[in-house]
Amino acid sequence: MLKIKGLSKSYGSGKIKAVDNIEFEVKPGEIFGFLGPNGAGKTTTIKMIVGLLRPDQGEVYINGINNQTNPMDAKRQFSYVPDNHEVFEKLKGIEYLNFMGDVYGVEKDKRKEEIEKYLKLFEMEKAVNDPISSYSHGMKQKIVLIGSLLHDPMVFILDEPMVGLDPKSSYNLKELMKQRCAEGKSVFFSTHVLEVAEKLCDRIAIINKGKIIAQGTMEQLKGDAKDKESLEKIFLELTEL
Amino acid sequence: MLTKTLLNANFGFSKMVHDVKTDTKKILMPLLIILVFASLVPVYIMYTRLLKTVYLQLFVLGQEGALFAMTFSGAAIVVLFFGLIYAMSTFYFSKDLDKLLFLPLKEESIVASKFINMVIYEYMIIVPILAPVFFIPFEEMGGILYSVFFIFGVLLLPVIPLSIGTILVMLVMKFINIEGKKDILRTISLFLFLIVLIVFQLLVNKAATSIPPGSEGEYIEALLRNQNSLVNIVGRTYPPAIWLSKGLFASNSLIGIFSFFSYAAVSIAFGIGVVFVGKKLYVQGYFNKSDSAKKQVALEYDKDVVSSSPWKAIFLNDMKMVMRTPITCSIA
Repeated sequence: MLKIKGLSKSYGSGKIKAVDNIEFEVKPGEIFGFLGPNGAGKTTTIKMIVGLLRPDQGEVYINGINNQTNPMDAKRQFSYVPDNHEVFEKLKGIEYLNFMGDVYGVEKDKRKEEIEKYLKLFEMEKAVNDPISSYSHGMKQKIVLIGSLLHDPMVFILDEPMVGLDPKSSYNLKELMKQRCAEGKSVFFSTHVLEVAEKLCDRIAIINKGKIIAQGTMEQLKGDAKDKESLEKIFLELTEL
Repeated sequence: MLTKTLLNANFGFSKMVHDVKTDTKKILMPLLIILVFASLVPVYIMYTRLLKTVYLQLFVLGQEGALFAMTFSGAAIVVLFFGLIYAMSTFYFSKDLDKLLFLPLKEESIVASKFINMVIYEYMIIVPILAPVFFIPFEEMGGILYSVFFIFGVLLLPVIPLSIGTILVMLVMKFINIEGKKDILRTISLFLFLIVLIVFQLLVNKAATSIPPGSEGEYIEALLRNQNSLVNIVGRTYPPAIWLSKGLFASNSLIGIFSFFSYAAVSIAFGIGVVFVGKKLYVQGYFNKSDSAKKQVALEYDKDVVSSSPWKAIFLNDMKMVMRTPITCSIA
């Protein structure tokens, strides 16, 4: 569903290697967690997947479509929720959702149904007619989430999705991720919340200094590490090498 | 769709309506805007009378078409000036690409939508300037073609100067986009460019309108002999103004129709040009900028860790914020 092959990216004319020849694959029906310390290369990788950065080397296939050679079709296969929720502040929530529906060509009846469903789920019905500038950080996160789900993407890509969400919304989002995977779609997200990754993800990749240092199911990761107690200990052990 | 969204996002119509609906006190803002415009009415009446007088003087000389060339050239310069500031704000300070590039939108659609936004913004400036110019000569020149040409001519008027301004801004941003440089440097460079442009325009203007010593008589005679020949002189610095002017004062002749369509074709060509240039310089520039890495300077604890009194700390903090904010941000 999402395949990364030999992806590399460096900054400053090759002086700083942000992502160094990484490879992984997110299969259909899988929740894949992407972990790493600050500055490890998580956001750079995600930006290359969604087309906000151009890789120096390597290929990204989204639902079988190369995002460099066929970017428009590749972009229709996924939804991306960035870590900073800078949306068009002067728009009302509903105007933003309609814009997203228009961009992805979601038909009116389907759009109405999806907007209603997700507004109820994230308790945004009352706020949706207000300007986004009046929203809290978590509400902005929720409106971006709803907008990104309208076209029912095959691959759902999220950068630090739990930051700013209240416990109920966070729970709803996790349930939504599971539900999407049960339907054969995939979820790829980065997080610092190791408990979430441990409980939610089918597989995990840990990136440090631009390289993937561990990858697999929780059981496989525990097998690689000396201390087999928790993901937190595995993470600390691997990233402090 | 993107154009509509960007218009709403830039002008904040929805936000303003929502604010007024939810808090009646906020009606003061739109009222204040109306009051500001109302206070300009006397100036506007004076401006209209001045245009009328100029038109009558030109009419006596058989040069009434020069009114168009004068006002269209003037409006084009105004568009260019505001366009530089607005292009900087629309394309570079808005940081919209972060929100748009991962969506299934063509890069040229993004550039075109932003450009159309700027064109619509410019209408707010040029329509009041040019509206009287439609009515003043209407009695002598008015007709269906005159009206159609005038309306479409004004709608297309911002396109050429705005394209030039936008491309200039994109070039400045491309070549000054050196690693670690501050936005302020780019802004200063842009205004230096503007000064160079105005000086260049003045020099061209002087050269184009200067009369060789001793031949003033012949010059004036030629001017009076040929109807509307002044249009060519006034519009020399901005040729599209000549084409549009001819299209209006000769709207019922083949020359007029040809002139107007030449003007429309060149305007559309500039519009298409800016989209292609924008794709290369603006969108490509975004990726290049993303590729650059800022130098990290190691902290010197003795030098960098400093203490100040609270009032001095606030003053220094404010000063740094002002100095590090691009001027155009506060203007736009």
